[in-house]
Amino acid sequence: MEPPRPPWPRALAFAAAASWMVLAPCRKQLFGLKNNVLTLDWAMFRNVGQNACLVHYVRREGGAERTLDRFALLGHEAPAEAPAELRVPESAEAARAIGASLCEALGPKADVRLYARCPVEGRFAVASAGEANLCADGGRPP
Amino acid sequence: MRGGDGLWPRLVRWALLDEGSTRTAALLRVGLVSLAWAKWAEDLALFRQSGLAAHAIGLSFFASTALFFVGAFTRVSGPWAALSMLAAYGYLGLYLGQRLAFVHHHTRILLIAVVLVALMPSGRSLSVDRYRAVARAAREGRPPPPERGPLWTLRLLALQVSLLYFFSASDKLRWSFLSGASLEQIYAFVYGGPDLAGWAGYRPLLVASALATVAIEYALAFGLWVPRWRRAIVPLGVAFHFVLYYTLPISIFSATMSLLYLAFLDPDRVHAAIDAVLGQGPPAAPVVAATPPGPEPPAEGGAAEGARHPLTPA
Repeated sequence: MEPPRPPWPRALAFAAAASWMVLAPCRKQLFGLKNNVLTLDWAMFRNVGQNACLVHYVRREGGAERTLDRFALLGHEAPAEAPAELRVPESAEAARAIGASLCEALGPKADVRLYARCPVEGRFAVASAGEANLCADGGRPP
Repeated sequence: MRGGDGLWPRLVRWALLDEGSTRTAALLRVGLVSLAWAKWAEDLALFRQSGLAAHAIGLSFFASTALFFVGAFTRVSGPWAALSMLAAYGYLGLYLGQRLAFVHHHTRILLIAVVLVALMPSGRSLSVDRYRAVARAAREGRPPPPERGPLWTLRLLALQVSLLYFFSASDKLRWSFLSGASLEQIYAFVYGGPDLAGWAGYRPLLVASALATVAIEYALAFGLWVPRWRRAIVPLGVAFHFVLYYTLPISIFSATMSLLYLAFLDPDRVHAAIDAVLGQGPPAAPVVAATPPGPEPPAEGGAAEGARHPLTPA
């Protein structure tokens, strides 16, 4: 007795759907082309935080350094509630601008230093190592 | 005696001809509609959209998904819900540019799953349709209709889940990810610091996390298909998505993927497990050995006799 045959509309639909599932991501992920209406990709977190710098600020007093909570100093209860430009500065310049705001909050005599690492070609590189006082001369590096 | 037991006939039978309990489809129906509401309901509400077309899509979404959720007129409400979501994706997301709300891989997998479940006979179980069918059968003096239906769209759903993991893992095979740099950027974006570079374990943790992510995704892509591995792989996948849910803003996606693991479980065993939980079937069998008990499962009938754990190897 011959095995039952699947109804051809079902077989066609299955083949078409399965083919789309396999081929649709290939347009972007294999060939590097942009997606169109019919294609999609499963590349995740590719563009999240692409330009996000990792920064922290310290206040130098009497030879010691104390980490500053930039969110609290600038009036935010938690990092999640701060604007993106404060939470994730996207360049050393943006990070120095935040430093200027911290100097305003702490007063002109404060000594605030910036430690920053920023992405360069997909890897983090040191953008500032606390070499300059942000509250003096606009925080320009020596 | 079965004819045509070569690999290709068996594959065709498995993909296109197999039938099984429709309770898995029902669970997917309820779960996916819940997730669709969690993801899209507010974005489709009256106060969020403007224009006649947008409001029509929103109303259509709410009406169709409400019916589909309770399993009423599922042969219409299912496709109607799927079309409503496709309209939201295409018109609001692509045409009007509301990409953040509607066009994202989080919503794409949800949309694909809803389309496939809409094609399943999910109304034959755990639904208003089922209630009405049982009542009608009782009035007519015949047994209730069986909770069975074709499984070909369930097979497609499993294939889609597997391919998602495969392509996602393959995309991560680049130095920027495997070195931990991508994870570090994600951490910076989501948390804004502190910079942990001064901690000796920071770099190794990033690299280990990156490698583990790729390994887990490949394990899920292939391991979910192997019955004797599912007892370990499914909890691993759920734990993986729980960690992502807890640490990163990807809640709906994590929940969706965990729910879709149902597509890999034997529907008849899911049926029997629900019976056992409800006290309507024999007690669940103890953990069975990895070795399959026989060459083939029973070809006819409803749920398998003797409830077995859904993750027990076939």
